[in-house]
Amino acid sequence: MSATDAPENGQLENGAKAIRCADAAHLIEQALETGCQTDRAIYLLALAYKRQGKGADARNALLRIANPDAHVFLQMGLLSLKEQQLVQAEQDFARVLQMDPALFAACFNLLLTRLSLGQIKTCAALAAQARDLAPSPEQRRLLDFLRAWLVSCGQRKHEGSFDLSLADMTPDEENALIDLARGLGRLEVVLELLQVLAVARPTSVQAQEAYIEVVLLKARHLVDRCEWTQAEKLLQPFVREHGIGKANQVALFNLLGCCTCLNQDSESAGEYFRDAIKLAPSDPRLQQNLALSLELDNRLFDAEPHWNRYFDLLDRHLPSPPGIANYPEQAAYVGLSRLAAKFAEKEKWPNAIQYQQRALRLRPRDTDALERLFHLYAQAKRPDDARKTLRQLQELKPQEPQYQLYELDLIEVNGLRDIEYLLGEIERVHEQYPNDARVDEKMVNTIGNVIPLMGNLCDQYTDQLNRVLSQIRRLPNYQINWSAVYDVMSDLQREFHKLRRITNRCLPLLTNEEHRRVVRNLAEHIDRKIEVCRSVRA
Amino acid sequence: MSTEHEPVVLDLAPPPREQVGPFLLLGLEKDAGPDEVEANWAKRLIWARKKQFRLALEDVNWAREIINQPEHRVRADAVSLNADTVDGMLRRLRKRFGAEENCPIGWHAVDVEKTHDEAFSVGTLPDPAEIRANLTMPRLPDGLPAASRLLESYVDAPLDPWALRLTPDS
Repeated sequence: MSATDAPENGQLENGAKAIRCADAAHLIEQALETGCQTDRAIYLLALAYKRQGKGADARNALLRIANPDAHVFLQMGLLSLKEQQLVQAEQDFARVLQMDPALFAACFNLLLTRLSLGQIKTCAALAAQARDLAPSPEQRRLLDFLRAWLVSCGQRKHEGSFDLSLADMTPDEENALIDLARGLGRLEVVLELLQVLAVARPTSVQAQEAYIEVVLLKARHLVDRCEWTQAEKLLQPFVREHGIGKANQVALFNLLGCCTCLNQDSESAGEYFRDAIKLAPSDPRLQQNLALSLELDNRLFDAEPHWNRYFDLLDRHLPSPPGIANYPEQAAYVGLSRLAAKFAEKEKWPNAIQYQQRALRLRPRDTDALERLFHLYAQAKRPDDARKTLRQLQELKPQEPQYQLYELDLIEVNGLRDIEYLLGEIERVHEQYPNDARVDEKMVNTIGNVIPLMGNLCDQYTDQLNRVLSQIRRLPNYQINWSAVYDVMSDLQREFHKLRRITNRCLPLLTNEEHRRVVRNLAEHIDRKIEVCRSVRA
Repeated sequence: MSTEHEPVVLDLAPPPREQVGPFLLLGLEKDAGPDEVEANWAKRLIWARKKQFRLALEDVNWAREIINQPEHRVRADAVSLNADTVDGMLRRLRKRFGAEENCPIGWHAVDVEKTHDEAFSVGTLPDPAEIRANLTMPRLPDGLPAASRLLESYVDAPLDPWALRLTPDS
């Protein structure tokens, strides 16, 4: 008796043995060709093929046997098993057992194939039959326990009780059975079996560990199906369970945290991730999970220390996908830039600048990072740092014309003079690079930022004008200081004229239709006000 | 119908795909290779078409698109939850329980091969020394003194069954 995947198979992979099997097959083929067409010779040929791993040839040879016996079907069943054709294997083994009910191999293989197919109900009787046929006392004892185990699965469902003999297992026997269950490959069956074993043997660490392992695996399968609620329900009862190994506990808290987070309870998720981190503080993935759950809970500042820990832990030990070079460094760069943007959104400039500087340290010659840092400095009203960054940018890319316009972002625009200076600079760069799309884009943005200020100034002047007009209307003629009114009107008219000139300069530079419409409306409004000033003066 | 004491479980709508992230959506670890990406995408495509998956077909395609672009993949990594720890505990469990794709069954089948005696009845083998002793050497012409030595060495040489060639073309 030998096992298909047992050491002998390993030896067969050894070159010398494989060559011998090939030679044997060749010899038998010659024998068959010369007329020795016996079932026995064909059977031997099939075995020689099987040992070489030529499953299809072996099956073809077996099919050529004129009067197949139980051993022939047993070999067919084993070939089906090797090809993972479990349904076919089950049919073959069942046939073998019908033909030769005393063949232990057929009974044992049929039992385990049915378990792998999830047909757990029919297996207890088969286990008893296999036990009676088992050649060694150890196998008989093991199959006895397997029978008791399978019977307990049915009993637990209907009566809530167990076969008491399960308590008599030695640790080695228990290990062997757990290994057998693990190898079944059908998660639902393994889960059911190990659940029964864990309840029947509450003091066995192996049984408990094996059970939590299969629970974790089942939960992961549910997560793969996006069934987070189901997975959470499955994992929840184990949270307060003591005696689970550390690695399993970390995986449990982490997976539960993920499910809770995806079920939109980021607060509880944070708690689970914290529990996991207590057990494995050096795992960057856990730190990232906690930081993300806190972010989802709108607690960016609480997430900050965990992001920092995550960045500290990102090193070469982080598993990287194939084909992406230097993945941890890339992950750190992207993460830091992202945090800088998050803080910038909240207008927390110092934090944003700090993360952007860290990102820049990872890629000192990255112009995108430098640009973002420049804008952050500009927003934070740190013109000196911004200018320094701009110089670096210009050194790295001297041919980029739009950087000349970046300088304008640092000008604090307070009045008409600033706007005029800004427009002058824009016109200068525009003339220098007339058809450069980047310059045009930057120019449109800069002018777009100035338009509201022009509107504000116009409103201020209009307000002054209205106040003077209202006083003129309200007061009797003899109380009005006409010379002062004249002076005010002259000043206002001058300012309106300046504003009007600016709108005229703006219009040819604008490509955005909305901007053009706003500026045209402003110009019409200014024209009306200039007319009012002129009429009052007259 | 639920009983009086049974808690009501609300089945929430899935969060936006960006929150789930492409990795969880395709059931991948963050270091998954292209073969794994394609296999998981294809599987979910079938699930989505059969309405066996909570998320929409376009989300499945979106996830694959993101993961196949290195730059987008790194960005998605930064905002995606990790179902497994860095030491790959769940992946190890998958292997241990044979729960991976195309994983062969993990139990050892009992293989009984009919022994040679059962397969072939070759009868009783004769004693080679007796046969050799009974061999009668043919009379050789005196003109060929070496022929006798050659024949003797041929008879004494061990027989190699693997070197036998039974058919003329072999």
